[in-house]
Amino acid sequence: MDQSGSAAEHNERADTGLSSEDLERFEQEALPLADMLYGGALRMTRNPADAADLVQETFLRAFRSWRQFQPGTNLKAWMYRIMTNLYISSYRSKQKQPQMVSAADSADFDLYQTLMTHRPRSARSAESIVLESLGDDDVQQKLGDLPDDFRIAVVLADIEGFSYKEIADMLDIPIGTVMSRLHRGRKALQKSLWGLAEERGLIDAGSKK
Amino acid sequence: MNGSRCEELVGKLYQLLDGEITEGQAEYLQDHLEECGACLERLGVEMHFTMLLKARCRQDAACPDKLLVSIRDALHAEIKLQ
Ligand SMILES: [Zn+2]
Repeated sequence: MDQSGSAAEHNERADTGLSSEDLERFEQEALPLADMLYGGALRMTRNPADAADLVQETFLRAFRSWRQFQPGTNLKAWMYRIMTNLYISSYRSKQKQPQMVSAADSADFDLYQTLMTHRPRSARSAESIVLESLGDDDVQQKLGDLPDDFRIAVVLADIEGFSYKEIADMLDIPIGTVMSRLHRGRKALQKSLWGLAEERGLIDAGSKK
Repeated sequence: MNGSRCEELVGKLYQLLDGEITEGQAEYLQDHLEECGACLERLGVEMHFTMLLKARCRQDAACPDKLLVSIRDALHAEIKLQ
């Protein structure tokens, strides 16, 4: 894992006037968030080397802006905002993103209706078969395959537990856009997990009427 | 079953699920849920899906020690630069 790459990019060395007291306080308050941020970075970048770079750069940026953080406000959200923006502006552009089509296709996917069609007596039983027989790797893989905008919305809301407003602030987009990305991201994920369950023969693909 | 109220619920389902809805709206939808088994089941399915998603993804990989050291070094270097 190479952190020297990101270190070379620290070219804008503004005089932040930070003292060793600032550093001490930052280490105390922000460093405990490292596990959480690293987990989030893995979900965004999908590989450990990029995740490490992203987290390192996030801490550095955060520390340089430390004086702008208002004590008493949500530090987790503040750090996440820095990380998300960093990811969107730099890491994301490195990655190919040809997947818009699949998410557009699945905007109308209706998990409930699909479940009902396959197990008319109760949606719950089919749901359990599909959802619970897929493992961590399956779900993380399919989440990783979502288009970036949708994946980020789903990760921030469903996994990290941020509110619509917090996500809107983080991504600098209207709440309505958060809602539509979240909606489409969830539908796309449901559809692809359903597809995976069909591939595995967990559901009889032919039984759809 | 009341078709138009089902549609209203479907339209607001995620907001209801995410707790991103006014109290008045929530009560209104709750009234419908009490009388509509299909919508209640639909809500249950979505809720279950979200819980499962979280459970499958939430186990945070610990930040590697090597990375923590590297972060600390970088932060301390920031101070020394001044
Ligand atoms: Zn209904």
